[in-house]
Amino acid sequence: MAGIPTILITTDKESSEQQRPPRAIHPEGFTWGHSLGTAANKELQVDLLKTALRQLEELHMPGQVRTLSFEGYHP
Amino acid sequence: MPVEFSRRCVPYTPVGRKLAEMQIAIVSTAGVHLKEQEPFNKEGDDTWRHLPGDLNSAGLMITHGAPDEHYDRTQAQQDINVIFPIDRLRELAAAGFIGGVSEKHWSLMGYSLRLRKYYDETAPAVAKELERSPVDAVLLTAG
Repeated sequence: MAGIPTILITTDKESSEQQRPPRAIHPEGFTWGHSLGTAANKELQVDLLKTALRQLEELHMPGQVRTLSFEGYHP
Repeated sequence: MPVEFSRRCVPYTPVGRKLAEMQIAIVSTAGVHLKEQEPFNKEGDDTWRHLPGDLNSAGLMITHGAPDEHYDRTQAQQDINVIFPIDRLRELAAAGFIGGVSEKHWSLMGYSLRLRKYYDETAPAVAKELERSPVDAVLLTAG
C-alpha cells in the first residue's frame, strides 16, 4: 500500500485547513504549544490522544479539520 | 503559497488495520530533540532528528524559532507529552489500544524560511523513510 495514514492534532485550524490534511482534529480553544493540553492533566492527554488515534478507524472527510471539544483544559 | 498547496489533491491513504494492530510513529514539528542531539537552528531549519522509540522522555528538550506568543513552551517543558506524547503512546500500547510504538520517531522544527524546500525535499524525504519503516500510521503534532 502506498503512503502512510496520518492523523494530525492541530491548534491552528485555519492554517492546517489550508494544507488540506487527510485526517485532522482541532481541540477547540487549545492554544499554540498545547496540542495535548497541559502538563498537569494526564487524563486529558490520554483522552485527546485516543480520540485522535480513533480517527484512523473512523470515516473522515479528507481535507477537513474536525473541531472537537475536550473537558478539563485550563491553561 | 497556501493557495497553491490547496489545489493539490488530498494525499489520503486508507487504513488497512485495526488500531490494536498498528505500530504508531510520531512526526512532530515542535522542535523536540534529545539533549545530546544537535539543536535546531532557530533562524530556520529544514533538517530532522531521529528519536529512538526507547528514549527517556526526560531527556528531551525543545529548540524552536517561533516566538513565545506563537508557541507557548511552558507546558511542554514540564511534560513533553503535551506536544510529543511518547509516554502516553507507550501506555496505550501496554493497554492494547494500539499495537505498538515505533522504534523510531521523526522530529523537525517546523520553522523554515525555505518553505518550498521544506515541501519539495524535507517532507518527501521523511515520508520515504517512514515508508521503509514498519510503521502503520503516523501521529502528527506541531508546536
